[in-house]
Amino acid sequence: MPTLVDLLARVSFLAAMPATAGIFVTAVLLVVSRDWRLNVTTLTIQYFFVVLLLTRLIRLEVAAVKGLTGWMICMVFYLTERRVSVLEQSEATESTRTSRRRWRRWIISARASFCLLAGLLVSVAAYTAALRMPLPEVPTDITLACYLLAGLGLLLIGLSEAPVQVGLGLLTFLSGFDLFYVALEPSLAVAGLLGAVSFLIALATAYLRAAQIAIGGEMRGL
Amino acid sequence: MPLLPVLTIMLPLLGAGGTLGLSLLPRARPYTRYIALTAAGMTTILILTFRWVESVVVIPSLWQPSLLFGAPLALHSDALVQPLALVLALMTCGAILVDLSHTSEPRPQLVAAVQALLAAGLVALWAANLLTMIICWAIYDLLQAAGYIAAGNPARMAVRSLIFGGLATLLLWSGALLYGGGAGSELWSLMTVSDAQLMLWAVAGVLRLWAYPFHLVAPDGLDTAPFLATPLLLGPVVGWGLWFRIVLVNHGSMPGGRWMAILAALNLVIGGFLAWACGSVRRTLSWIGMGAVGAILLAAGLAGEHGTAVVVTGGVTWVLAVGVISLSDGLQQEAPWWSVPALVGALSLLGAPLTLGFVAEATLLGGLTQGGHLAWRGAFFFGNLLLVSSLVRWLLTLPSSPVPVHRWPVVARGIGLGLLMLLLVAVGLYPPLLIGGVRVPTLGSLFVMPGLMGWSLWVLSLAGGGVLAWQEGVIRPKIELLLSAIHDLLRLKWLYDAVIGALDRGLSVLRAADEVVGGRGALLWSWLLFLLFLLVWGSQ
Amino acid sequence: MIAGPLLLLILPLAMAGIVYILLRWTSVSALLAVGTALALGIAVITLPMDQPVHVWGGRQIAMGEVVTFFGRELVLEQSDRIAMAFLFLTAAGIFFLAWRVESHSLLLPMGLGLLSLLSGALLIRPLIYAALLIEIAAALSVFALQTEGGAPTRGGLRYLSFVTLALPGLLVTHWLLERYVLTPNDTRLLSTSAALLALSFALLLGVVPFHTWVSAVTGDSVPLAGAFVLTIGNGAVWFLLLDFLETYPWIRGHPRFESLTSAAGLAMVLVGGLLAPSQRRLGPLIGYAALVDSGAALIALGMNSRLGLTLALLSLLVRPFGLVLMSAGLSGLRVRSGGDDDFEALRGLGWRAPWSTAALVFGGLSAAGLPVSAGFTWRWALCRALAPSNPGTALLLLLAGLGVMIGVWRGLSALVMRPHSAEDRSVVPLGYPEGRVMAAVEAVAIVACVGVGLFPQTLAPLAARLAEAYTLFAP
Repeated sequence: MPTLVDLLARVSFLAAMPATAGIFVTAVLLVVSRDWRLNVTTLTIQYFFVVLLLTRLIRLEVAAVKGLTGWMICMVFYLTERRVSVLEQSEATESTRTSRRRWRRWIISARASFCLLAGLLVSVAAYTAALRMPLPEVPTDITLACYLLAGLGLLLIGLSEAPVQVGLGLLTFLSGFDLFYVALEPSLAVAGLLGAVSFLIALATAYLRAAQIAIGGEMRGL
Repeated sequence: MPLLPVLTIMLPLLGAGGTLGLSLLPRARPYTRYIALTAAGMTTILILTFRWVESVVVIPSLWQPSLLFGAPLALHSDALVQPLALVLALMTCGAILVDLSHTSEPRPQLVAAVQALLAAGLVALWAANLLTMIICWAIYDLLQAAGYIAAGNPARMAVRSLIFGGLATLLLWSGALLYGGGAGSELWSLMTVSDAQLMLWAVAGVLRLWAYPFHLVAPDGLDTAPFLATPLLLGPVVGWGLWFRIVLVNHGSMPGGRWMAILAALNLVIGGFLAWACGSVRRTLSWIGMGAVGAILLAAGLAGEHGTAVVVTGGVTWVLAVGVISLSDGLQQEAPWWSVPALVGALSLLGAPLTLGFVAEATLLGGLTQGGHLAWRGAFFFGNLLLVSSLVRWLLTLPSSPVPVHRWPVVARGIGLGLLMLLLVAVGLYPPLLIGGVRVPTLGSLFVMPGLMGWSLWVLSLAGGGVLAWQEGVIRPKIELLLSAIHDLLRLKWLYDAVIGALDRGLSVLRAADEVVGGRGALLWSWLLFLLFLLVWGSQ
Repeated sequence: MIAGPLLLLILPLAMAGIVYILLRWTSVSALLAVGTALALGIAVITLPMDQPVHVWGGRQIAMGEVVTFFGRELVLEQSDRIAMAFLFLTAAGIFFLAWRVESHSLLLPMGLGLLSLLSGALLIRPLIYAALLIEIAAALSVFALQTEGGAPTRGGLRYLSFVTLALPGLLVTHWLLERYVLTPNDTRLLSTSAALLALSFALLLGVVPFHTWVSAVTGDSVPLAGAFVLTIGNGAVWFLLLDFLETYPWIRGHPRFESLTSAAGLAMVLVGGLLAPSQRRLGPLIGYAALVDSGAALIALGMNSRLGLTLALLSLLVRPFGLVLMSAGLSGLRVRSGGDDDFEALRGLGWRAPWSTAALVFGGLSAAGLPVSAGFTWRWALCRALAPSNPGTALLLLLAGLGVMIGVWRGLSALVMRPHSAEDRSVVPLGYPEGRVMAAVEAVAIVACVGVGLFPQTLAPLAARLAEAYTLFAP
């Protein structure tokens, strides 16, 4: 059975502009979307593309470990949101669900337009920055990926106060920084600590999300 | 002997602690006043012994390293402020004695607060440098606020006193900074100060004296408080201590020049008016005190380089007179002799001859008659006239409680009021009995100082005040509405409310901006502001 | 033989786990937390560095022993001893207060964990790992800041965001400085490092315009946890900054160091002094008070002298008195107002919670730098040092303190208001509505604050000694 390292080696041809494009798409999707399923899926794919780019800078095994950390984070988000959706579904009625869906579509489209526009603006800025201020020790496409992740992560943190959104933003930002920093400092200790930081951010986010749902349930109970 | 000042301060504090401790035992609660009396009495005796003991500088706390702080906390029981310290202690004793003559027990917290306030007042008066004074003022303010609450005063009174006290402390501190930071550490006697410093300290002094336009800090709700709360009325004692120092470092002259004189005259006139126009007689004492402050400051301003004696004698008179008037509680029809101490106090405030207040009054009259001080003469005339009438109103008002009939309460009340009255008279006859450290003019020179015009002015204002008091019943009902309107206008509460409202509205703009920048999107706002700053900085 | 650095790292972590398990028994868990912090704080300052000390069962503790941890050195230097003692003893004080006012929060176990991480941040070499440990501590602090049963704390997330944004600057700086060693002619590396360092520490210290996390942390989080972050967490950042300045002296020698540091401090003082009186809630007021104090410390550092460094260190030592007292008071009041700290919700609450109100007032005095409090001592010294050369800055500090105090006075006015009494008189008998133990705990804290305010020689020589341990401004 092929190992994770083998699988990564097979798709290594994508570890160039395709991966950068994938990062751009996933990051913009995270900025625009508010649906947890889409977010978790997008984050998973984003980590995949980040790992692909990492394979060009560090050893495959280390990149794989970073990828595993990222996917574990996605698992944490998935489990948290799954629990939340089960709790919410058990309390919602059919009619409110339908009307809410309609309203949600309308709201999402207005908000999504704004977020999309902001995301595109930040992406243009990231592209310009990648051309004008290339990062040392990394190729141009990875520079662009780093700026995209950092900029869109920052935008995601700034646009919302919801724990999950902010958590996603922080993780996106850290991914971008990690992508750049492994080229400067390939130390395993630093890599491990950065991974621990990411994991703790995910845990903190999940904890706050659980608190959000708990208080929401209490208020509905009142 | 450095132990003496420390002991003098510790005694009331121990008394306060003992009071609070005893109050936990219900059976021992009635005896808390005796502990307070013992502590205050012993404190008074110790302060008396200071006359025969060389004054030393006591350092309660080293505040090291001196490179950081400049100087330690230092207390110096010098001759200049000793009179104030003594009268403060005596007033506390007198208040406890008069309170003992009543059967109703005050709250132990009030008993403790009064004793602690005595200790705080003493350290504030004995502060040898600005740093010590700043700290002692803060302690005094906190204890005064606690005292107001323990006395059952409205809580806003306590908060207001904290605010104004804090402002005064900051002004004092600002003055120290203007000196290049060194003034905080120098002893008062070694200081050389600039005009700006003196102005800041003078404003702090005005705040501390509860003078106009900062008069709203004066307590107006102590009319229903027990007699034991009288020391709470004597908050300006700390202000007088500062004025003694200010005049001393300014070589005997009042700072502020013409502005201080205008302010003093305003206090005299408006204080007199507010006292006379006030609907409730029981609430007039703070206005009467304000008027008296104005007279003393005006006298000191006109005294030129001899202002020290005026301020010292005037301050001591103020504390004694206001205190004894407050303790006397109106006219007891069946025992009118109990009003004699209040009468002596009133005469002292008016500067009658053979009272301690005569020093300031004679100087004031003498200063008014020299040069073209027509406006000041007019201000004095009207202010004094209204003061006289207000004092008569107070002296003739109905008492709040019946006179004691049993022997020991009568004795206690007699000693409490009698001691204060005797001191007013004795020191009036021979000021060096109490006032040391400054040369007080002789009685003969004081009689000569006002001249014929001055004496005429004084007598006329007394007569006018007497007539006004006599016709009180006829005049007041006719103009009560007008009086009330002018009283409210001059009281300036509307102005304070307007200023606070305007400040609140101004601050609400800042709050709104803060809510925008610190609300949703705070991170993006931060980065936006940072980039703007970079742009501006980069373009320069 | 147990190495001192390992003890400082492992013991709090181990006790954190035990305390978490025993959290249900508040007194036991609090006792363990306080005891651990107190013991380590005393040990780090009293045990000798150069020789092992025998403890129980034949074991020895060698405080000065260098430990290698996954290839990285953990070194306890002289300058670190007082810093570590400050962290642990302050934590002990916070845990002591939390015992009565925040008994069921995660502050106790998380606080111990944070202590371990922050100790590691100060002990580990090279400094790059300190930045990562501080980041991990920030992530953990979210758990402590979150109110049990409350809405998600905005402060925790915002604090985490800003610390995360600061991380890249610190890490990249390390690489740039290593490059500079190889190519000393490339001075752009130095200027880029300086810029990145300045930006990172601006984020970490809450320099304007990155100050919004400070008021957010105190605004809707567990108050004592917020105080923990602002005193101990912030203190660790300060010591990290001093370590950077010590390790890279060219930073301090940069021509813009003084002006930038002073300007940053001034901006914080100005913003905090303006926004504090406008607050209608006690939580953000505490945050802005902390902002003013932090700004004043930066102004002291910007003096670029041994005196300035001593003053900055003194500010760190006295800051807990103000912020922790205010937070303890706020905790006590919030319990009685249903979690709301708006002035409207706190009306008249002072009569039911007099000791919490007193703690708030005395803490406010200290945070504002007014007498009679611990905070006044350092603010007096700073104004005195600034007055000859910068009287305007000194007066601005006074005004900022006044601004903070105005906010406290407004809160106090609301607390002592009696809306049901027509005469607005204090008719409530002053008994012990908060419980005698809680009153005693808060009284001890207030007495400590006032005591240091009257006798600063208990702490000031420590600050002077700590400043001497740094060779930053050695003559």
